[in-house]
Amino acid sequence: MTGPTASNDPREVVLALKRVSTSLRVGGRLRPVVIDVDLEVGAGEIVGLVGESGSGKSMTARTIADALPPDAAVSGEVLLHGENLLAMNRRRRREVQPSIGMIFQDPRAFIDPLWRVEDHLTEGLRVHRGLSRTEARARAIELLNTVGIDQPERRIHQYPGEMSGGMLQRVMIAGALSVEPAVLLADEATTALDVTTQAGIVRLLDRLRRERGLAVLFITHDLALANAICDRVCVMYAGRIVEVRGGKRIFDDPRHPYTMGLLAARPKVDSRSQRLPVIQGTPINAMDAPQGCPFHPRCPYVLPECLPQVPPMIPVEGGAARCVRAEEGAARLSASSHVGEQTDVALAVSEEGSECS
Amino acid sequence: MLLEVKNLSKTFQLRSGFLGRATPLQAVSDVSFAVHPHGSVAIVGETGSGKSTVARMIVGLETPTTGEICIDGRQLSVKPNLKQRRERARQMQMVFQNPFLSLDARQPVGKAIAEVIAHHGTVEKSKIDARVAELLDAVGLAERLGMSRPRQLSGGQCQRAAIARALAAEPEMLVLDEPVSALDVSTQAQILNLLADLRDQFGVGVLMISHDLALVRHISDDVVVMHRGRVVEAGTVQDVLDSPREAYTQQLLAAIPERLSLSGANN
Amino acid sequence: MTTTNSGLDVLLEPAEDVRHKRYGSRLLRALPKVVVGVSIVVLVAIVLCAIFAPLLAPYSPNAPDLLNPYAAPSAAHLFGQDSAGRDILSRLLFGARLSLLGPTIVILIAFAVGVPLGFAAAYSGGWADIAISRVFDLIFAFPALLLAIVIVATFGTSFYSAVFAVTVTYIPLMGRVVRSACLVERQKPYVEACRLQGYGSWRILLLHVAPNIGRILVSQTTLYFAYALLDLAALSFLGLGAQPPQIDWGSMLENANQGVFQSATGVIFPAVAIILLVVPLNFVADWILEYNRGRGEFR
Repeated sequence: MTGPTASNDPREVVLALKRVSTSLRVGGRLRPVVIDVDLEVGAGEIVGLVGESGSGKSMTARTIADALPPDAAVSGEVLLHGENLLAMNRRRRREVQPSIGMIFQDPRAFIDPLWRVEDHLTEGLRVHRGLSRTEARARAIELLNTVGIDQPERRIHQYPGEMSGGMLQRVMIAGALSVEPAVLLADEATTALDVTTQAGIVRLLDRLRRERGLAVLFITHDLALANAICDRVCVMYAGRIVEVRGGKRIFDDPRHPYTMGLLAARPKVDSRSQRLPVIQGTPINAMDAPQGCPFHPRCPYVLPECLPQVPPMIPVEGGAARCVRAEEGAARLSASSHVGEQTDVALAVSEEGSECS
Repeated sequence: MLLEVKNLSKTFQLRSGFLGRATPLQAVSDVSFAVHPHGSVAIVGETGSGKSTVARMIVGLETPTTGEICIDGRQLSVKPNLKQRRERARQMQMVFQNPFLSLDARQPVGKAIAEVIAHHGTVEKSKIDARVAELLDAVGLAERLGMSRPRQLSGGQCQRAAIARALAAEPEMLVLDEPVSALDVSTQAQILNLLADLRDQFGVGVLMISHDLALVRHISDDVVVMHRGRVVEAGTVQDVLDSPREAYTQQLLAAIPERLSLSGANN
Repeated sequence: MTTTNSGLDVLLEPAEDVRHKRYGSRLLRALPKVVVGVSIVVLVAIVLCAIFAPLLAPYSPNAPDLLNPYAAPSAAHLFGQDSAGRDILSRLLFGARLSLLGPTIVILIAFAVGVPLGFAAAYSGGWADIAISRVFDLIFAFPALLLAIVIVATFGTSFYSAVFAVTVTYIPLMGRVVRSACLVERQKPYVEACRLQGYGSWRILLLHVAPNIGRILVSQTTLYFAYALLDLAALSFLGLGAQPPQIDWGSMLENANQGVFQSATGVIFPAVAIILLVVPLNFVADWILEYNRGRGEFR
């Protein structure tokens, strides 16, 4: 697959989404939550999926993991090693399910508090890989080592209640790894953790993808975090991908006004700003999107061209952005804008960019 | 001095079962700091640091084991009765982390605000509705939203209502417990701007509890770093964030996403 | 599993080849609403039968026909006749009155006494909570039926002593529910916000917490009505409840029990009547709890 969301590497593509759209049944009617998402994650790559509430990022993950409500509708293709997950029958889907690991925000909600760590880790091994109890236990200890838990022989007998959030998250990762997945979906996996614990988990994920060629889809609302650890970052808004950039470019040179808004709205730890430039309004769901560009009602740089259709992804350096003005960049946008300094997100971003360089 | 905290400690007695032995948990040890009138202080820490417990002791939701809390130079009683609580509420109010849970789900937000006004008697009865409208306006909520229940509002709107409720008591200081961490990024920014405006408009002092150092840089003048119940470092925001002296503070700063560096990272 | 779907919302620009997964059909999705609707209709019908029994019943419920004990259903007696030849249909209709009245009294008193006790336990915490909870536990420790028998033995068998006995066992149940629900609410920040202001405990309880636990209370009360009905029917079945000439479904069962080999209808119809009350009540109680809960947010 070519195009802006394609991985630049000749590495094997593990997970590919092609024009994936998901709709949920709301009040009796099907309403879209994810629209036309194209995404690729190669072996050993971490791709970030960033968005606020309503952006569709979690729904995208659930679509991949087949965790949607029974009356949802999905179109497009979700390819795992080239095989379309959506077209599989139930038996085949269950066979490939171990290839998709998933970790969530709250480990306590997903690990049975009445099971010891050993039980939790060995279940997958015994069911999917047919290991005996002793073999599975040995493997579980190995896994705990891999995820950086000390004294695994002791921890293996503990209950979730005896462990901290960060440690439990590592246990959840170990559980996901136990069946040797090809791709790992991390859905806000570090959101509930302290910043130092988060750094530890993120380093662990980085090491795992490097050592095992694990493909990781890292879903978060924190653009800075995604920027720090991901090879490529996709920003979602109203169910669509609106920008994809590789490297650190999304931070230094965002091309979609929404991305600029996200960047400008966060206070910086380095310096204090008088007032945070804010884009008025609140993020919307896919189902509430207007005609044309979904962001245009809130966009300070809107033009008449933004309206009749949804803009296509326009290639820019290091990726693409779904904006008719994608090629202009923050400095030019702010120069031509009619908004006041207080809400000029492009101004804030371009000023910061010039400070850094 | 608007608020002075001296040698504050809190030990929780955790009981297993009714007749079980109690294991003590030292949540806060010997914490001291002060907030000037109209000042803005942040308490920063991770989970288990005790920062929330300190805030709760200050507003009277927890009883300190030892130590003093003085507001406007007067020491507060450790186990306040209703009258003392009411007086303390006129001096400090709290804004909680979860906007939806911090308001009564069955009560329209305007009524919640009116209830606070009536309770404290800050305005005479006939003028209460007008005051509610004023407060809603000050926090950027349309007047008709006063008739909505929390669940009918967005997270940002709900938090604005919670702030309006806090201001209804005309406090001298606002205690903000992770005020924006449950909100979207764009909403966070709006609320932060609002808080800055309100601080100018109403002249309230601010004590903010947060784990987010960037937030602290933006809102606060002084910061207290807590770790495992103790104060590790304290000073102005510039001093602590630009030149942290303690290893823990340095560790905290190194771990934030903007400063995170992974070995051999991205193309 | 490949079907085309014309119901897709226009906002979604369909790709050329559209595949959907649908595990539930429209009919299955509508089922819960239908079930609740039917339940409410059945309950209302039974209440109306009880109220209008004199108009609906073909015979006087206590009119004997000793020539035809345990007669099978016939044109004259649609549901058959009982041990004294009385018309079962008429007895069923009149029996509905006590069968409904009993549980009503039970839950009204259990509510009136149990709810304040539950509040007191939840709000005072400490010794009052411990005292009240232990009293509840004591009552729970006795098998309800045994307790009922003791009470009835003391006060004599009658409909009202049976009701009293059952009420005693339901007060702690109600209290427990209220206490748990209040304790949950108490942890929430809005209650802390109230405490901060200096609102009194009873004010917080009545004005803020009580409305928030209303839904759970109503649902549980509905459920307890059903269980009280079963308990009272059991007591009547044992001969400890309503005494002749009073009629309720439990005593009808007891009466029919002896002649079950001659005519099963005497047993079937009261049993079905009880089921027709208990099962719909369960569905309604569930619905009260779940109604409108499905409004989630999408990410």
